[in-house]
Amino acid sequence: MTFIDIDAPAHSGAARDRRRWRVTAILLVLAFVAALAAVATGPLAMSLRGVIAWAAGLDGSALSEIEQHLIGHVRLPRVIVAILAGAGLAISGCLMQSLFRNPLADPGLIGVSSGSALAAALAIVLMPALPVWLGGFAAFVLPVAAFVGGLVATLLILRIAHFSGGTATVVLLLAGIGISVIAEVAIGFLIFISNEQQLRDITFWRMGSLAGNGWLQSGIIAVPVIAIFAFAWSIAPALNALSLGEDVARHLGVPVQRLQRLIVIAVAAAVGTVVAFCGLIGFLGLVAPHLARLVIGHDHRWLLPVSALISVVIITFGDLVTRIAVAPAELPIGLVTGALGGPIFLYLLVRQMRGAA
Amino acid sequence: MGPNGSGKSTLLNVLSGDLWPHSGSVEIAGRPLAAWDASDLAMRRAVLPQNSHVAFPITVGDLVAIGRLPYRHGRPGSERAAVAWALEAVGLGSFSHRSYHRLSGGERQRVQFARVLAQIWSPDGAGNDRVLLLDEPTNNLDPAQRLGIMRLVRQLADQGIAVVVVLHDLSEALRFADSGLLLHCGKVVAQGVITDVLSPAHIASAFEVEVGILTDQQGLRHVAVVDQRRAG
Repeated sequence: MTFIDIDAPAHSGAARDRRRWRVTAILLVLAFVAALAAVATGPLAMSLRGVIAWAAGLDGSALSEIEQHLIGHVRLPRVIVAILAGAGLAISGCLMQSLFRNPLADPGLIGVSSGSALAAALAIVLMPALPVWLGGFAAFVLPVAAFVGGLVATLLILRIAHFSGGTATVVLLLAGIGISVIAEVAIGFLIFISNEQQLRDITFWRMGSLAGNGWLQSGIIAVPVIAIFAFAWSIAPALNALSLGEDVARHLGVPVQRLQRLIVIAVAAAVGTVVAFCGLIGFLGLVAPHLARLVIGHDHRWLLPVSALISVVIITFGDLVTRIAVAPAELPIGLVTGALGGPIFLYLLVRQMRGAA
Repeated sequence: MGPNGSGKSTLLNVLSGDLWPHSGSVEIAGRPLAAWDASDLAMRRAVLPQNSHVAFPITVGDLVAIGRLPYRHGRPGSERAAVAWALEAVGLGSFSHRSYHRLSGGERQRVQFARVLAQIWSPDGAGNDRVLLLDEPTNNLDPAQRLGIMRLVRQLADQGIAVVVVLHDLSEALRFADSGLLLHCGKVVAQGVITDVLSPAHIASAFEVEVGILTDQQGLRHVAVVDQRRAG
């Protein structure tokens, strides 16, 4: 056994790190541009220069009062919700893919999406039966129901997996499929008994929307999203080990079972909150980590932030498209992310099957 | 050693703490496994499972570096040194930036072995009572690679690392092991000095074959299977 010159791999490693920093910088610029464009664009178009001057605090009079109000109360919080939702879904996707050791895993696998969807459909159908005294709180019935629904479905799945002996990922996966099927049947029944307006509400909720979200919603979504990012970041090396297998991770000192439970709960909380305020936004959690992996590799210390940035860029530009494509109406955001994500997903699938990934 | 299904891997799983024994206990350095802090144990003991499936695209260097997980708060730079040393040790020194999924089965096996080596590497190079559990490390390897890996395993043992290896090849065991344990249907047929354990009589009762032990010109002993043992 001989020691070799360790500078050789270090040199190429440094080149790779430079590439990773470059990708991150480009994505940050793209995300920033997307956010600015989203703020400036809409039925009431504003000059980009005015928006930049206003945002940088250089020139308060660059925008009219109405424009400032529109940005401050409508567009900016909406962009922030988009950024948080995008990041939350991407981080959740990374965690799910590591947990299930499957690059095609999606946050919806642990039942959180279908649980939320069922509860949301229930809330929409039962809304007319709500007591009048709820008054202003009625607006929060749907998000609260969706959040609770997602969490209950996930806890149920954890419980089933626990009953069957530990949190074996196969059991988690199959329990998730079972719960999703049951939720779909229940949603189908609710659709059957709903009236025209409710049917429309359910359908649109399931296609996702960032509309109607203000500062309060941004603040609420920020909590689980920042928490899941901090959590995921702190366990990044363990996630690397976990993707080699539960046994391997355990032999490397990773408390696998505890980590798996924490991951499921963190994802349920983050996705549950995002879904509660934005409805179902498909494919981001699946595609963003996948794209990130193609560009910067599988090391979670890079994968997590880069996936989040890719997702943020997609959702922010996507939201822009939803608002201008059929103005003054709005396309559902899930349609746009799905339209982008579907083809990318198929491309990745074919690429992987051909062994090129 | 032992025939298929005799409990070799099960025993290794018990030793690694993946399975809990119905009776008795596994101790490392006089402490039961359960009493060890998971990270401390991981710095002391590494396990190479029989099959490793890697679901994500990853470079060889990154995969081996995962073996350094227990030391992530340690000295910077030691990770690179450990990875470089481990890859060099298994003869894949120039593979660091290759994609794991583009390697042959034998190369993948050696990369996994390098990961395990990186896990127990220490800057001073001493054995420090470290323990290495290897489940058929020469699977999928051609004769030259098998020899290389078994020589490496022997070197590690000579450095003071306790190496427990599940082996199929009895000649390899005779050549490289100090002591052995022969299993049959979950029961111990023989244990002790390897040359005593792998006597024709013991092999016959464990594997149900008749064997001869041949000694070549270099004094190396080989197990030759003569025939299936006849009932009665």
